[in-house]
Amino acid sequence: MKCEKIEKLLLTDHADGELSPELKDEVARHLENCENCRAVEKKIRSAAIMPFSNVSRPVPPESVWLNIKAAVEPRRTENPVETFLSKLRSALTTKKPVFALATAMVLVVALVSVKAYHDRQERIVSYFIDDQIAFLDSLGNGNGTQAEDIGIPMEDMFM
Amino acid sequence: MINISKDLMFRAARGDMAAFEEIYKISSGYVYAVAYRVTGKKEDAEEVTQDVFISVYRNLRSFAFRSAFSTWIYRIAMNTAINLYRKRSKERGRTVPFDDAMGTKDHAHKGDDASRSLEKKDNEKLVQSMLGCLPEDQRACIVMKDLEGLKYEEIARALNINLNTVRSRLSRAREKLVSLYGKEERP
Repeated sequence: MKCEKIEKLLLTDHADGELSPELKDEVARHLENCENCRAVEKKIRSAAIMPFSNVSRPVPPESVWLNIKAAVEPRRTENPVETFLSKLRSALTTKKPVFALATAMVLVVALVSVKAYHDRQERIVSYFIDDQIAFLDSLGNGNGTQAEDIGIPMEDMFM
Repeated sequence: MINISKDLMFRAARGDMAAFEEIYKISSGYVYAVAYRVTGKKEDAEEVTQDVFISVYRNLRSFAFRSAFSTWIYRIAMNTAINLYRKRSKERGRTVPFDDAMGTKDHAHKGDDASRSLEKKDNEKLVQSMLGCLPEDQRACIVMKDLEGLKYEEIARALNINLNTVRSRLSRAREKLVSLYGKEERP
């Protein structure tokens, strides 16, 4: 392998331990015999890799968590309308068959009630009309209640 | 590496704040570190960390475990940090200079002798200076590789780029660092 290719590997896979075992051996053999590439490797390590190996991980201040908590908590605890709507949404999506059945039953009951009411109203109107027809008939043939014979002539009633 | 159990995520997704706080405790150090190394400012790193965890909380329900939680959170952190860095650069009309170093409070350990503490502080300054001279895309790869210790494949997944792009960005970044810092005598 040529020095140019080795130098590319020294900058990436070799430095980061990502070489396959075969390539690793090949690079190691090359470095044993090539003083120039050994110098390049040393320079890469000292200038571009070693400084990063000795840094501490910074820790976020406590205020960061408090701000996050304040931003997310009100969504669940301080808005009862949102909480109710959220629960309702959840219930509607998670218990769909139960709600569908309940809705169907309510619709059936409502339809039956409307039909029964309508029939009752129709019967009342029908009875009233029959009654009226009977009454008018009785007036027409002189047998009506008000025209009933009371046993004295009409002229005598007012004398 | 961030390791969060599915159970903890499910509980947090159902609104269990204690579970969400546990997730924050486990992963906030990684997010804050990535944000700080990419933006170069403590204030910006705090803003990024807040935005990342608010976003995580609101999207936990839709997380489908197609990728690892660590990949997901690194991706959100990196994107948020790069976007904020670009926004700041645009506002100031130039590249944002990095802070020289974190405060000594963050790094001084009890029992460290003075020379070691000073050496550490110098190294911290050097690292900030090195990262500050790289373009954001190369900086992101260096941070994930050299500071977070991720593998090439993990970096590729987190940044949504292919493996060879990871290699070429690392290669160009290191070439630049060698050209800028390779001649200096290291203590």
